[in-house]
Amino acid sequence: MFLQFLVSGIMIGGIYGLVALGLVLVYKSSRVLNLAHGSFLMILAWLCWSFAEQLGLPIWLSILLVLAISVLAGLGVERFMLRPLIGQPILAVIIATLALGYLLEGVAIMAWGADTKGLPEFIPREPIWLGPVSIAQHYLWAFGIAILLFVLLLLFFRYTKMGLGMQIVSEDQQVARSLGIRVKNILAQSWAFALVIAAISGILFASLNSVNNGNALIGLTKALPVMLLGGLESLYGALVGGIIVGIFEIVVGGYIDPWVGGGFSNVAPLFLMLVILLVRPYGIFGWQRIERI
Amino acid sequence: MLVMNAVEVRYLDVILVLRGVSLEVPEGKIVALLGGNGAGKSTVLKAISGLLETEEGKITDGSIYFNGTRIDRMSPEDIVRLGIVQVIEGRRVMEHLTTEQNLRGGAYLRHGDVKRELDMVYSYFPRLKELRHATAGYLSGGEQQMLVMGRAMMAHPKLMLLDEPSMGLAPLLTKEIFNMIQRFNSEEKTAMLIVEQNARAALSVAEHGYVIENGRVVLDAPAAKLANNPDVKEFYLGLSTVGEKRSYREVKHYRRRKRWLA
Amino acid sequence: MRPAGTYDTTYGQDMATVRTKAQWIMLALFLAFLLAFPHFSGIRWTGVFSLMGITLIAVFGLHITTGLCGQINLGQAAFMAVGAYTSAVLTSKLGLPFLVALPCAGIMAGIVGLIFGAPSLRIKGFYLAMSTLAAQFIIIWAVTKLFGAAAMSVPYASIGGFVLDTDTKMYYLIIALTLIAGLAALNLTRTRAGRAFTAVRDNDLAAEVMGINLFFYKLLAFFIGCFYAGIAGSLWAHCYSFSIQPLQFTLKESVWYLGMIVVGGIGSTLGAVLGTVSIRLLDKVFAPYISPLLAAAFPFLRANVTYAAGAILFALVIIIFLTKQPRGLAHWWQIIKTSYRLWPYAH
Repeated sequence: MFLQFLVSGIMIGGIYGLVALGLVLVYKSSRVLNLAHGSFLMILAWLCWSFAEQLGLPIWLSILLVLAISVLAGLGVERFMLRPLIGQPILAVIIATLALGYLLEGVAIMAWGADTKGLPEFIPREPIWLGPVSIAQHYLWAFGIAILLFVLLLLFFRYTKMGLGMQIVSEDQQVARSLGIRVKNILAQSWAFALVIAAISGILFASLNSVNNGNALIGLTKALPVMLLGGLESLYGALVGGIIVGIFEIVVGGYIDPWVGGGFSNVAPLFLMLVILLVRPYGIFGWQRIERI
Repeated sequence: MLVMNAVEVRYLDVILVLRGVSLEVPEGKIVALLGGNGAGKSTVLKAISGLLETEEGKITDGSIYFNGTRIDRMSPEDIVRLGIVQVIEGRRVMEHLTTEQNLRGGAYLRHGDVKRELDMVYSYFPRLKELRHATAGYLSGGEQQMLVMGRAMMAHPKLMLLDEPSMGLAPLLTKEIFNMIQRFNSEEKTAMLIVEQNARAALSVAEHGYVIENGRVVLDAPAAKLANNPDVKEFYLGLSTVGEKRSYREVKHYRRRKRWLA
Repeated sequence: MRPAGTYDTTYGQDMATVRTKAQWIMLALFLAFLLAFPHFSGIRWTGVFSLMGITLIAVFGLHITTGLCGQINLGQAAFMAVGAYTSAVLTSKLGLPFLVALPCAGIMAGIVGLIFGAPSLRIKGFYLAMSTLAAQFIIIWAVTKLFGAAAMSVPYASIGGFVLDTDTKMYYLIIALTLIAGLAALNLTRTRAGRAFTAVRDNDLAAEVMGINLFFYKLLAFFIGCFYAGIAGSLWAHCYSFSIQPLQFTLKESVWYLGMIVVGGIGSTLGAVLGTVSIRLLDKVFAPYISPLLAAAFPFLRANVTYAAGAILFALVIIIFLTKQPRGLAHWWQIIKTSYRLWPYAH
């Protein structure tokens, strides 16, 4: 029983980690916490559904189209929303991304209503059995994709020039410009990457459950605790934090839910987040503020 | 090589900081820019390197030419590509990256392997080689200053703009830094424009010097002449009555007014 | 920019909010307008004004916590829920009079606010925002757990033997409380605590060095802000909505309140008023006109157009304000006043 919880927790942690990865990417380069990430993943999943079910395109083509659109969306958001907000206090950026999230939810409601739909199957439904434990294949795929993306991003940041450029931009934009780095391009690229990740995680999540406007919430209620636990700037942290949050949610929910009549597992990550904020706000791998006098 | 003609700079459209500054940096030479606080020295450097844009500043009059190209309308990224690198004041290292990552950042615009450049910087600053993998934010002040200068050197600039390299450093370390500056200039033939409060150190390495006050250039002479100029000696080198005991009854510095104040 | 010819001879005059006779007259006219309003407007407009009053109280609270003291609070709607449910339970289950339930609602909300604001000692900026975001979700979850997701009906408020059962009577209560709340928020900036709040907002390290007890003042700001939210929640329960559900206090509402202080101008009490009034008007008055147009123009859109159009319009307004005029409506008003006073010279 515990083992099943543990494994399910690890698997779902993979998806949470993937969502958080997109958030970390944007934060790492532009110091902006994209609170609209959840809304993006929800609406990109809807787009995929539209292409696949309403227009009848094959599922792989729908996915590719959605990925292309997410790149454009990332560039657009950076150009039209983030650039005017450079230099404004944090509150302004928080509200702007929250407002963007509601904008997207409003658009989703207008275009697709408040229904729940299913994506066409592209991952087999039968769970795999590892001894006494069963794992849904969706989870395995999500986990695998998360690890793959994580490794790619890690290599990217460590060994490529663009990765170094993104880190420099996240440290100090003025110094970055004085070294000849085109900050606007770097920001646009990181947003594009982040939204591609949002698209992938949104489609995976939707194929796991269903396409529904409520999916947007995981961007806030799950991905934020993961980011805080792992450290806002850390890619490792997103994955490790995702797994820990996933395990915490399923295990704690599994044992405590029966006592409180269900529903606790939904807010368990938030309680964890509060504890982290009290005990170690920078998270496991986060950058500490280095202050010199 | 670099020619500034009557440049006027405003911040936020209303604060006039530079009122018609003209200066020249010849190829391969070191030029010192002296002046008190708030005179506009850093603004001169930022006007040249284009970083005014990042601080809501604008060049509203005049022009800046670098090897015949007009640069006062260009963005800072393009100016760096022409070969002008500014070392911003205040030892702005990338705190969470390692020393080596910082240096690699300096070589961002170079293609291919930067090992040669890294070795060159390590030969100038052996201390940095020992601290290769240390987190830059935890280095001492002197080491950070070496790091930012090394970072600028990585790009093999044609003109290096140094903003207060000795700020907050102990006198011996200041001497070391200026020795490096002189060495770099003579070996790599990089022209340098150094803004300094420490006039003595700056004039010891420079060939030519300018004194800025309230946004205007008030003195413009070869370094040796500047060092012997009585006004410079009194107001920047602190030598009004050498060897004599200062009597406050005389209050000489009130009576001798700066000749350049209108 | 003061009106021409005003000068101060006493400290009282220096700190005054209303300076000239003209300003007193305008104030009196405004109050008279508010008093007479229900008699010549319809029920609908009285309701709109009541809603604006309730929202204003909550937004004043948020203004104190976030605008004055700089502590970002993303959960104001949840604290309103605490007040609403406390008040409902006290009056309907325990039979306490409304005059007791109202302040209790405020205090309860304040206490809950203290619990979630306590981490603010160690964390700043958006770490605190995350904590209040968690508060938003956790409080609503707890409320749903304790009282169910279905609507809970709330009895009419009664003060003494006087039952507030018509819109007009409720309107007067709400407007009275709103005016008191607004006056208190305005005056707060002139007190010692208010100056401490502003110091904490602008540079908390420097404030601490000056001897301001950061923890105490941050918690005080949270408490006052959530107290206001509790009062607003109680009024919402008894005087506007009569049946309360957790759905009425979601993150969306919290974002609305933040949007109102941003659109109005952060840090300005007048800004809170302008922002609230304009956004509520936008929502209640304009959106119902726009959505039929949209539905007619795009027939494939679903029936949820009204709700969605409101959300989109609101979000667009906020984003446009943030990018184009970050100092908000209050800044525009200042410019108008200044150019009027300095006319014909440039302002």
